[in-house]
Amino acid sequence: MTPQDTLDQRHSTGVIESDDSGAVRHSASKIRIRESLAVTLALVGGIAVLIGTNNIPLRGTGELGPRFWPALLGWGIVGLSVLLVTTNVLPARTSQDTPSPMTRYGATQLILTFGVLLAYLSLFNVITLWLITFVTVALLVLLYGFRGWKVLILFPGIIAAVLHILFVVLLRVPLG
Amino acid sequence: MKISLRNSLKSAKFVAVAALGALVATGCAAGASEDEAGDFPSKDIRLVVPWEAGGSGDLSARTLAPKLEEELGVNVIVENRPGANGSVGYNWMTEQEPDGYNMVMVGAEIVTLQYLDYEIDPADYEFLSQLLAGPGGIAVRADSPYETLDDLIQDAKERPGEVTYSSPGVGSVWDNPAQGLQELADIELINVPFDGSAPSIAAAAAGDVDFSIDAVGSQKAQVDGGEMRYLALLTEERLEDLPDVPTAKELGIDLQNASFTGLVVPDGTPEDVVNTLADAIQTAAQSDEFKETIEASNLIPKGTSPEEFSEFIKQEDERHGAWIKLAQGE
Amino acid sequence: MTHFLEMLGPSLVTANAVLDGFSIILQLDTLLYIGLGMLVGMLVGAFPGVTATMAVALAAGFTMTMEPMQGLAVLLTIYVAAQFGDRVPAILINTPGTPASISTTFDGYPLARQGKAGLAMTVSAFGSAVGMLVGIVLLAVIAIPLARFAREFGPPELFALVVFGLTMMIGVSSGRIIKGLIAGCFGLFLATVGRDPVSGDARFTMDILELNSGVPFIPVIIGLFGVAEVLNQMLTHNKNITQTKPISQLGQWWPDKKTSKSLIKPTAVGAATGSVIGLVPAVGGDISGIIGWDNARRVSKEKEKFGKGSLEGLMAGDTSTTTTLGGSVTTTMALGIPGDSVMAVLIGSMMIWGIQPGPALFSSNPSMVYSLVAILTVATLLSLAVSLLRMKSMVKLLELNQAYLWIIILVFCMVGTYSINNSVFDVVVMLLMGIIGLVMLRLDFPAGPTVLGLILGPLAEANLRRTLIGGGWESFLSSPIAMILFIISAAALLFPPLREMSRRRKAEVGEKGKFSANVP
Repeated sequence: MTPQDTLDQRHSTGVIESDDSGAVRHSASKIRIRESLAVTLALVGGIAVLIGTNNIPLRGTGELGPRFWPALLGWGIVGLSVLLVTTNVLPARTSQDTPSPMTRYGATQLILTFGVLLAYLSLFNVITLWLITFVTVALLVLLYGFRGWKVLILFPGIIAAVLHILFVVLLRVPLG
Repeated sequence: MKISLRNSLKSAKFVAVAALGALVATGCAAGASEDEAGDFPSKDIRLVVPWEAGGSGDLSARTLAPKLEEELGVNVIVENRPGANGSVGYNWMTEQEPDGYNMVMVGAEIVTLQYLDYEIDPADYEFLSQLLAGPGGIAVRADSPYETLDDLIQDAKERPGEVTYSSPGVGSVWDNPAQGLQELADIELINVPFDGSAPSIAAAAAGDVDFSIDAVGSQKAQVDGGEMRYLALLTEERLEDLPDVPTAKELGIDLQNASFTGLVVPDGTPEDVVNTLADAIQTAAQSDEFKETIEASNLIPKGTSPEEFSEFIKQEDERHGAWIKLAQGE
Repeated sequence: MTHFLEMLGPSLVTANAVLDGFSIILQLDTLLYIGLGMLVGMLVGAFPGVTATMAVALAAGFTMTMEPMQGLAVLLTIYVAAQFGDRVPAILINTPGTPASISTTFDGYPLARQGKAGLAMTVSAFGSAVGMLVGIVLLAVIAIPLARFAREFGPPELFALVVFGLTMMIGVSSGRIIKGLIAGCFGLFLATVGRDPVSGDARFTMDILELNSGVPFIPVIIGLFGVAEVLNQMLTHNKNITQTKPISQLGQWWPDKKTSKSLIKPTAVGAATGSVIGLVPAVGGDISGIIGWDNARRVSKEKEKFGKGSLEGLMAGDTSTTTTLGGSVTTTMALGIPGDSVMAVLIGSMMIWGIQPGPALFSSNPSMVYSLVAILTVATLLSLAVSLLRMKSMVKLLELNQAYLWIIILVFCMVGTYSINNSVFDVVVMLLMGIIGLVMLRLDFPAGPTVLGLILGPLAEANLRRTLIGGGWESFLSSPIAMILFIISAAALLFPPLREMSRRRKAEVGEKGKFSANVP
């Protein structure tokens, strides 16, 4: 799975909760949708594990062999997801501490943040650490809506300096 | 979004700082590449350890590095790139310029991994020098019924497929000679693989398996503590420290095996660079300090020439290759 | 039994050896090294992603040339201090820097969100110190015979212990049992990625070279706990609403008398759990913390608060985690089997110094135990003192706007994760696990069981299969330790629902609805 795939998944979870008003409504249908999504994801995961298990080479070992354990887990996930249908989806039950609703603004920021971070990561070992850190932090600061020299120069400067001293100078991590 | 004049001035300043930084960075790189035309070495050398920091392989590299610095006159920086039995480090090495500024430390996995579906080929490297060896031994727990290697073999003949041994992992440098033992003695043993030497030897000391086949030096702690006994050594001749322990060869099983580490550079490195590095490594490996450190870890310091090391690798490749195929064929 | 007395023999050392051993801390330079190690350890612990193993490994490069005892003083102190330092990010930003602090996040972070971060940090520091001291006493008094107990743990016994560990999944699910079990299976699955422990075949590696050695552990916990939490805050954050500062105050610092009293029981439970678990080789503070936490939950009067900000849970988990340190040092020194990854590094260093950890160590060098005890005690007390002092400055950091904290956490976690193995792959895993953790959080899957599965998975599968290769299923029947552990596991699974049933029946029989408020 690439990060992008997972991002899309996350995005689709948003459909049920992109309630900008801020209030969480525990209507039965909403809970059902959310819980079915959980079941679907778990089922897909369990089936993927089972398919992957069948691709493990077998060399005819006497005991349980390399497939036994993952197959057990795959069936476990599938079985539990089915159970989840009866315990959570049908009675529309969910735990009391539902996370606060996501916002469109937040989702956009999250995707942009990931873009910045992936660019940052791709420059590891290419450009010296303090420089890319400075730029990354400054970009994130801009992204989160802060303006002013203190936060655009001083804050990234401090972070870049601390990272450089701690990791490159003291811990000798090859990122200089 | 409101951008005041003050802020835009600041961002101009930021751009200037960034540009300056970029200049410094590229300037450094340019300076380095110019120097390459001169005599080797003219800049820092990286010594990559494909195992985690702090292990015995890592510490031997860190003992060697200052000695190499004395010989070569440049900094030798030890860097860990662990993962997947060392293959992450070996693989990384093949992607580097063959200019001698990147060396990697290798173990027996450099020859065994190719038989275990890894894309590692010994032909991708120039072998500089073997640093050390860890000769193997067969040991049993102190109250084991086996008094000699022959007892063990007899028992295994009487109960085929029931006598167990512990190994530090499938296809590892100590799992393979066990295949050799089975072949030479015509017996059938059961391998119980563990995650590394320490738990594998401990399992034999506790009696969870019937015997351990591992480096003599790693078994030594249990033997010294009275928990285990050696039955045989997997060496050509008896060891100085263990004059009473016979070799397997003396007992009619012509089996030798030793773990090793050495240094390599990517294939295609110029010959004079290879020779400069190899000379420096040999001198460093023969220094008293390096020898003492290695001997303290119950290993044998080496320091061989590139020719010797390459020849050694070829032999290891054949031996281990045959053993692994034997194990997989079963 | 005579065997047992024989073992006890060498540990009843003369007063001479004791004095000799303790004298190590009277040397000024040793104290200086302890101080140095403490600073490094605290710093390392406080930064998510920088692990104690890494700090000890790097320091090992420097201490190689020192005297063995002074080198050990530096390395062990880093180890001890990092345990204390590590609790801070676990409590404040839900990011355990090392696996040992996983259980700290269960209650520590909820407490911090309730504005009780100060109290949580004080309690956690005391819990860690108490655990450490109990572990040290164990090391001093019964190191050698107890190390022999570790010998009894072969593959069947380890498998049985791991099964017991797996029953904890229900406890750490905090009520969402089925989802918790699914999350646990996911963790167990992650643990199967890589090379098969017995046959060596590649499983689920998707032709990614790095995956041959499995899913790296620390990137997963940083992603699942720390990064996922940041991403969730970001996702739910609203442009127009004024920035909320969830942890803008640390609240009171010292527990009042009543609270202190209520912490005695979980401390005892934690210490007892840690003492036993610490002796089992290959099982460390991470598992012990979770088991200690769950054991305390079982005996607590306020079960429902566990996982939602219970001081008892925090105390039990931290005590249990650190108590294993004594056992871990013991098995490392007396058996030559590393108790955890830091200890593996320590063995490497000791070999270089010409000290061979193993059965012969304590009998040939009896004062060594007491030197270790002395070093560990001083390091613990010093770390406790510094933890209590230093914490006040944390307020400043938390007064920062939430978004600045996100930046700090994300950037530090990325560079820190990279630095563990100098691997970009590890950072990718961390970010990916951050997203998976976010999805789990949104869909109400608890992350605790996943981590538990990832820790226990390799131990479970490998030891089950080793047992079957070695002696077959009957090896379980012939091992009393394994059978006892299986019985305890069954009891752990069956007892709570049975008690719940009988309580309900009582409530029904008695006055209607009198206790119903208690049922979560």
